Amino acid sequence: MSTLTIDDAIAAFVACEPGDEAARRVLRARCWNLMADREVDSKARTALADAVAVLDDESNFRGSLEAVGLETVRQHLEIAVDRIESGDLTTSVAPVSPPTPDVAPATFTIDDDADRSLIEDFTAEAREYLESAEAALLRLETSPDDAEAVNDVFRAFHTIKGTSSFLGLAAIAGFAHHAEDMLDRVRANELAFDGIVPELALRAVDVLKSLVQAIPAALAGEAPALPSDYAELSGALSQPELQQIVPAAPGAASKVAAQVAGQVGLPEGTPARDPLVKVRTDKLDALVEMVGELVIANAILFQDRVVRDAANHDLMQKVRHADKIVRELQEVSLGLRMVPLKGAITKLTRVVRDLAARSGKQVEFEVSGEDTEVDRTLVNLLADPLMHMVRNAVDHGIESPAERLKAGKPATGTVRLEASQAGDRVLVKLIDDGRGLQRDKIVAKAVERGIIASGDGMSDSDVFELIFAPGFSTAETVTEVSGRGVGMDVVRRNLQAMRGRALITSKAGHGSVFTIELPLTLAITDGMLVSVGAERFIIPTARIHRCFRPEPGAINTVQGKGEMVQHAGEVLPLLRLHRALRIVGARERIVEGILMVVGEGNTRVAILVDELLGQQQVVAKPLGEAIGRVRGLTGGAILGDGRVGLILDVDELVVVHREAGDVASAAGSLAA
Amino acid sequence: MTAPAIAPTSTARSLGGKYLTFVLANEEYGFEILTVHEIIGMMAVTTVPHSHRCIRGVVNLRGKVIPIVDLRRRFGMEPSDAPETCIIVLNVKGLLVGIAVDAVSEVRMIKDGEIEPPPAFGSDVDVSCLLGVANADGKVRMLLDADRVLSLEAISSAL
Repeated sequence: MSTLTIDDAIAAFVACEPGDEAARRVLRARCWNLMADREVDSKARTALADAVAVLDDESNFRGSLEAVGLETVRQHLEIAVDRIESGDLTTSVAPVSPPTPDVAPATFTIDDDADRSLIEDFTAEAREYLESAEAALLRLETSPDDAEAVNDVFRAFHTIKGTSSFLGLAAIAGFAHHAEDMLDRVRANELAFDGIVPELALRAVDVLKSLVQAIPAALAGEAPALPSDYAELSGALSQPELQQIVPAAPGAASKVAAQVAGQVGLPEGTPARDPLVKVRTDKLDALVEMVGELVIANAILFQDRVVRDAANHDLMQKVRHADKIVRELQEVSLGLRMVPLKGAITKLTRVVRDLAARSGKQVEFEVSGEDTEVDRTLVNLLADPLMHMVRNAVDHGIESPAERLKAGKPATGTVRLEASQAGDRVLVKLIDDGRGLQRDKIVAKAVERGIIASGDGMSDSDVFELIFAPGFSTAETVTEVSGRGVGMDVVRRNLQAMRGRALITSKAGHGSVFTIELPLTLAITDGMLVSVGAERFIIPTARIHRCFRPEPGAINTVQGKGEMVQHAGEVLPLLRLHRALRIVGARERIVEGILMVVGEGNTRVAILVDELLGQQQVVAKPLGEAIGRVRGLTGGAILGDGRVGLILDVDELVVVHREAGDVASAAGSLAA
Repeated sequence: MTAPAIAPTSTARSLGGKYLTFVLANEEYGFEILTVHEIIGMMAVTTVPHSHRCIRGVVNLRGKVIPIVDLRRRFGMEPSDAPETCIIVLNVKGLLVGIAVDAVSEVRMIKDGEIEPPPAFGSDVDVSCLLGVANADGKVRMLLDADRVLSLEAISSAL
């Protein structure tokens, strides 16, 4: 981001079409990055901070206010541009105030140092706006009361004015300003949309069109003449009430109307260029998946014996080069699907407010890091778990105002959501300053539900883990807000399906911290390749806590609990993978195999495999409908030798294992 | 793709056309050519624990994981010692499924008149999987209904 310049921010602004939240987020990110850049002029940074503040306040962009919001942002940006380019008299930014008609130049010129690519973008954009303005004007002819149509026309003039003034296209900016003014008055019901007004509006569109069409010529250094009715119309637009003029170019407006009605495109010129392209998500997904394949195929090539042979140094160089490109390609393609977490977070504000109001609590909801980007699929999947956690925090965490005051805390509780990125993981923390998890209550409920016999000897963190146990929270916690009664066990399972995890820390009287940890993307899994007999399986690395070779005598058979392994002060149930998956020819003797500790909290087990074959990145694929769903398997992946390896869902294996009661019979219940 | 009629004895549709014929346990069978996606050589199959016994496992078809159906087991035949040589990949309602066969014979034009309705009994093959029986050149070829052969319900109820 170090190479970001104010031009990038302007480009982002230009790309900000009404209603395009994504473009606005890009604009915000760029403004923010510039603001954070110490090399940028300090006054400009202040202005950028103002722009960011405006962008951050959603209420500035609601409905018809959006135009106002963008205009405010534009003004701040302009100050920033002025500061950054101060001293440079040939600044590409035009003065905000439009030239008055009588001093308007007779020709249309563009400064030499104007940003050509931006102007080209604007040309395409302006054409689209003018087309939609025309269409709206035609709608108004039949239904003059259509407020939305008036807005459309206003937006078109407004955006063209703002952007063209940015780009130093004074002639366009000035004219659009007058047109905008007139429409603004129509919007405010100061001016009726009848008489000469529709005619003037259409002619304004006409003039703007010819101006936009003249841009390429002006860019080429020619000075095309302004449309003949430019000055006259500018004046007329300012005071339409006084106008009794006969159209200077008779039939101009109706000609335009006919053009639009006949679906005739704009007169020939450079083809329109779109700054944004809409792509079907399945195509995008296919691309990302293919790139994932490429990354793996490349890794296989990279590790090939022939390539790594010292004698083939040249080949190694070439492969290394290709490897670098593939990695960059991977990053770029994953970035395509990245969207800010905001989508999953925004609606939570409302949830907190409603819940607090209903329960008579005072809760402030703070959010930070909502711009953290994750894979699009994850944002959708994250919405439910977040909702559930926020609800829990308000329902169970935050105390009533009276209770809080008695505890010496401010009456208003705080729930803070912090999202951040750490390496290839995303962390979402939900922090409340409520009463914290109550150990005794949790133990009592767990005992009541038959999850544990007693809480004696359990550490606090073990107790807190209980709320993730299946059957702990039940459907009785359904609220109107979330509309579904998912328990925390479901939250955890959902997260595990995304290869994420949920953790809790809590301090009585001070509040709790729920942490959700997710991978940035689901496209590629880091896996550990293990062998069991002649078969190989992939276990997601994120699920493995540690691997070790057991000591002789570390295994005990516990009555009613099956085999247990002792390691590093922990006693874990043993799950022999070859038995669970009915594989013959695997190593039976524990000391010859490797144990992998997987699972969370009280669901941790040690899984016995023959050997670890190494780490590998894989792309998970479904096994196909003919196979159906097999419990304990997430899917398949293509291994280095072209064979399919199966990806194990260790958590589900553990669940199956526990359901079975002992390891020996786990195999029987594994069959779907 | 023309989906074969669900009812094997349906007379609503002409069954004549091109069939890919293949050999399994010394018998000759055929799939409508339009259901055949491609033919690939036999490759290492990864067994899937706890899957249906008719499913041999999965293979890698150019980066796609596709299941392989064991036709012998599907039809309740004895397992063979002779290894299969080919996999016929069928496209059934957009899903790719492989079928391991002993050998692929030919693509053959079978006329409508050569096809008789499936016999009511006396066949190794589950009659509901048959489109008909073609009798030509002194050879009997059983024409299979790919939809039925690979339908999950039919597989589950077959055994």
